[in-house]
Formats: sequence, C-alpha cells, structure tokens
Amino acid sequence: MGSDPQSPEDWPEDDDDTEVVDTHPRTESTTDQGTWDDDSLQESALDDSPDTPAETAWRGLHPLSVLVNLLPTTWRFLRSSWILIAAVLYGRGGSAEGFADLILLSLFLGATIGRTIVHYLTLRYRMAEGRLEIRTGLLNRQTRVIAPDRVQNTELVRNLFHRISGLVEIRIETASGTEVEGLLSALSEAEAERLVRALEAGRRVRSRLSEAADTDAPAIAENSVGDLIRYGLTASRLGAVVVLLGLALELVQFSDPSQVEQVGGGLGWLGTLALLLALVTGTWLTGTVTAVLRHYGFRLIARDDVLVATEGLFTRRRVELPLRKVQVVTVAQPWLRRLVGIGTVTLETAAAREGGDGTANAEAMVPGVPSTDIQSVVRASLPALDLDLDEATLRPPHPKALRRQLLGATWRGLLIAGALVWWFWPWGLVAMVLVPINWGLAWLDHRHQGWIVTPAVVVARTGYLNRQTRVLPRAKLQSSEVRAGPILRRWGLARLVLRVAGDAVSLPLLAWDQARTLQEELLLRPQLDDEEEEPCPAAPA
Amino acid sequence: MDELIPLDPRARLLFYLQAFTRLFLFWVPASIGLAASITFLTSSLLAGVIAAGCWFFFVFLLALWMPSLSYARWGYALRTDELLIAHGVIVRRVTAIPTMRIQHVDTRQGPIEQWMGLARLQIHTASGVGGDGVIPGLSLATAEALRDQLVEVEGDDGV
Repeated sequence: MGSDPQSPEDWPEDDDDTEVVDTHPRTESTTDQGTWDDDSLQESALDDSPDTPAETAWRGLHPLSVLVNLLPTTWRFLRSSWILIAAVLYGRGGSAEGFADLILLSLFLGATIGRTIVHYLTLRYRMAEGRLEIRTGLLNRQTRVIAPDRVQNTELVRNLFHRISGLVEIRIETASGTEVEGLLSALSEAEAERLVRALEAGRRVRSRLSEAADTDAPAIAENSVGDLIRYGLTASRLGAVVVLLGLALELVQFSDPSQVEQVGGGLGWLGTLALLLALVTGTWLTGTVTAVLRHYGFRLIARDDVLVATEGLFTRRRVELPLRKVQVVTVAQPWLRRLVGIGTVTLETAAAREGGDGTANAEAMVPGVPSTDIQSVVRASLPALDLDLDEATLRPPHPKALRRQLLGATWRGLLIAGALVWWFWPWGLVAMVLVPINWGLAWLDHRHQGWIVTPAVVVARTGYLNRQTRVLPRAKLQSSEVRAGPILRRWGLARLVLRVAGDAVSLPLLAWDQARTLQEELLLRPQLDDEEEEPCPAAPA
Repeated sequence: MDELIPLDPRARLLFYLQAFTRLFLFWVPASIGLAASITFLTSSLLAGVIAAGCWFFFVFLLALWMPSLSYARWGYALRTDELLIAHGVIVRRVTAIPTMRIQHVDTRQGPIEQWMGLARLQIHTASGVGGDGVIPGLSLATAEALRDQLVEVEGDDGV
C-alpha cells in the first residue's frame, strides 16, 4: 500500500506545476468519510484472489484503441457535418470557394483524427491507494481521482469494432457532473477485468466480470425477442411522426408551389393518406427494430449486492450498479403496454441526468417486464421494499385535486380546439369535442393516482394514459418541499416534492396540512441508518 | 409552523433595496423599450406611453408590496435533525432538509448585502438543486454560525 507510483518513461513526473488537478468534490471527499480506511482495503484485498492488484503502474489504452475510436469518431464527425459536406459536394462543384470549403472540412477531420491519436498517447490511468487515477491532456493536463465507494455504476460497452478487436470500453460514473467521469475507451478484456475488480475490491464487493459467471446467477429479468417486439411496438412514437410531418410540410412550402400542386394532384386524397400511413408505419417499425437491436438479449441479474444488466446485439452494453446506490425505481405502464401486459422498470442512481444515451438517462432499464413480474423485479432492485405493489391499496389524492385537473384539462382542450377552429373554420368546430374528452381523461387520471408511505419506501402513482409508479426508498431522501401556488392555496391543496440525488418524485395533490404532516413524518426516517452509527447532530439553534 | 425564526429585521430593508434596484436597473429601461416598440408598431406615441406606463405602474406596485410580504413569509428553523425553511408570496414553499444530507453550505454577499452587513446562506444537497435551501437576509454573524453548525454534521449522505 502507498508505495511510490511507477511512472512510464513517456510520462514525465516533474511537471506537476503545469497540471490542472481536477479534484471533484464528490469523488475527492473520501478521506474524511471514515467509512473507507486502510483496514477495510487490506481486508478486501486479502479476501479477493491474490492477483487483484490494489496498486498498478500507470497504464495506457490498448494500441488498437486508435483504430477502434477512429471509425466511430469519423462517422460522428461526418454525421454532424453532413449538411456542410453535401453543400461542398453538390453546391458549386469545382469552384474556388468549394475548394476552400473542402480544405476547411479536411482540416476539421484532421483535427478530429489528431485528437483521437493524442488522446491515446496521453491518457494514462492507474490504481493508487485504492483509487482510480486518470490523467489526460497534452496542453491542458488534468488528473482525475475516483474513489471506489463513490462509483455509482460502471458500464462496459462493446461496439462492433470493440468486438472484432476483443477490446472493451469502460465508463465509470459518480454522482457528480454532467458527463461520464471515468471513460477508458479501449482496453483489453483482461485489463478491463483487472480494473473493475480492483474498483470492486475497493468497494468491498467481489464479483467476476466474465459473462460465463453471469449466466450461472438466476436472472431477475430476461427479455426474449418477443418481449422486445412488444416493447418496441407499444412505444409511443407520436412525437416522431409529428416532427416528420412538420418537416415534410416545411419542405413542401420551400419547394416550388407548382410542384406541390403536381404532387398533390398526382397523389390525390387517397395517395396522401397512404403516404401518411406509410410514414407512420415506417417510423413505428424502425423504432421497433432499433429497440430490439438495442436491448437484444436483455438480462438483469443480482450478484452479491451488485445488479448487472447486459443487452445489445451489435453494441453490447453491460451496466453494473451497486444495490445500495439505487435512488428511485420507476415502473412505467403506458396504456398500450398495459394492454399487452408489460411494463418498463427503470433503476436510477445518482448519476442519472437528462438526455444522453446508455447510462446517462437510465442506469438500468428493463424494457419489458410482464405485469405479473413487476413486483419481483422491483423487490430485487430495492430489497428494502416492504409492500406488494399489486396488492397494496394506495391512498387517493385529495378530492379537490380533481378540480385542478379539470381546470388544466379545460385549458389544454380549449387551446388545441381553439387553434383547430381558427385554422379549419367551420369544420374545426368538431374539435370542440376535445374538451369533454379531456375532462373524461382527467377524471380517469385522477382516479388512478395514489400514494402510500411505508416504513421503508414512498410510492407515488400517477396517471391513466401514461401510468408511472415511482418507488423511493426513504433512506435516500435528500430534501423535501411542500409548495402551493395561488390556485392550489385557495383550495387548500399543496404538492409534496421529495428529492433524492439526481431526481425528484412528487406526490399527488394533498391538503396543505396533510402534506406538511407527511413532510414531518418522512423526516423521522426510521430506516435511514441500517449500517452506520449516527454521529451526534448539531444542537438546535 | 409557529416556531420559525424570522430573518434579521434589516432584511426587510434589504428586500426593498433589491426590489428598487431591479426596478430602476431593469424595469425602467425595459418599459422605455416597450413604449418605443409599441410606438413603432402602432405608430402612435400615446398608445406606447400608456401601455408601457400601465405596465411600469404594475411593476412599481409589486415592488412596493412584495418585499414586505416576502419578509413576513421567510422563516427558518434548525431542529435536531433537519433544517426547515418556509418562504414564498405567490407560490408558498416549505422545504425540509435533513442536516446529515447537506453536502456544502455557501454564504454569499452581494454589494448591498455587504454594505448592510447581511449575508445569504445557500445549502446544497446531493439532489443537485442548488436552490433547495436558500436563506437570505441573515446577519453575517448568524449566517456564519448557522453555516458552521450545518457543515459540522456528519453522516450518511444517501448517495
């Protein structure tokens, strides 16, 4: 432990003054935490097989990483600048300006390639004192230190190139920031295994990386191609269709009006309808195929106290997240999925954030869970769950909450119907039916809302069309807020919002006093400290 | 919620000063801009001046009325295990933060606050919403004492 780091020849150690040390507050704060000390590390190092190094020399990426990374980065570059390229190629062929643009483009492309090579040449990582250190950068050098017990989840990704070359990409996420904190884009499998095991040894969790070992463990959830097709087909792609239609309209407007007439005349009403149908079916099928490819062979297993999810046909993904890092479990059951008897379960850790792919917006998502298995999947990911989600009778929202819902429904209905009436007078008047339809939906929505607080969890269910049941372990509660705007206040209602790291869950509308009482009740946190002894809190002011 | 501690009495003055600073630095130019654009659109100076004048009067009334109410609504309580903050005039909020979940605490002083010897306390938890615990208008000594008390607490941060 604590021996001098060995540095490779190509990494000068003496220029520390030029280094930008990126000390993440969340990843750095382990030394004063007290939960993780030398004893525990030695213990876990002994527990583990002797070949697990707690400390390694500085290592670089696999030499093939340049090739593996080059193709995707080039592809991404081409994709992001395809408009420019098209303009250069088809715009003014052969003119001097076109040539200049071409040079500019190749410069950008060269820079992209150069960056990949520099990245390979400069990236070095090691395990030191049980923590992962990653150094990057040529001019702006930075060192990042990630402590194992701060790791929210690790993800192994193999795209096609990785699989051909037998390499693997590791993404290590902590709760901080808006990016993947530790990204090692191409390592040999043995090396990746060593690294993950060293991190897990630091976390006092033992596991094996090899997929062979995973198949032995009983699966919490598995998805066959049939499940995935059901999942893909029921995904609502209305948004995509609307965007496509909008784009088509824009294109039509920009092109020659006489051509539009020609097209319109040629197709007629029936043709237009057929085109529309084809468009909708096309997006639908593409979405389904994408879903199947992305989640192909989905499998979620529990290994000790780590959840492991593997999925993907071309790009294999493998997410590992420690059970105790799970912040919220969301069960999404939109009405179409309820109809075919499945739901989607999403496990969030503190690394969750808006947008992005892979681990970015959902650490582990089980695409299609048969409705009867939802309880067992949720329990497996939240061992503290002391409630049967199917059997439990949830408490209703305040009866007056329906008024607010009806008010909102009226506004939304009037807005859309009003716009339609304006555009398609007098046929648009038919759209006024939307208002009573919206009322009906609001009533259904209200009837299906519910919440319940048990000693271990808070459950909040919303909605009819887009039903979501969110389960929040009380031990993870960060802060809570009761709030009421003018309208809610007049009716004596309030909304209780519970915040966990990375997300917030809001309960159905309650009476103000009830919400306040509940807020105080949740602060009592009977389940908060199952392992650690609580230090003496500050004296009251 | 009768046990809430109110802000420093000078906070009322602070809120007024802040409101009127905003009024003159932002709303006066904005109203002039509004008048100009309405005049340009309707080509009638009268319409522009009346519309912008009405708007400015409304904002002015708000600046007269809100700070006092806002001061009355702010309050906090530090209990054994949690910090309770209540505030809000239009949207009323009560925030509860378990003290052991606090990641770090900032004290901030703007120019007016510096001049008045007041400070604002900003409490951060791992939820990532920086604004989930803000107490403005504390005397610097109170703010610092409260900050020290809050950061002293250790425990599981639940992440």
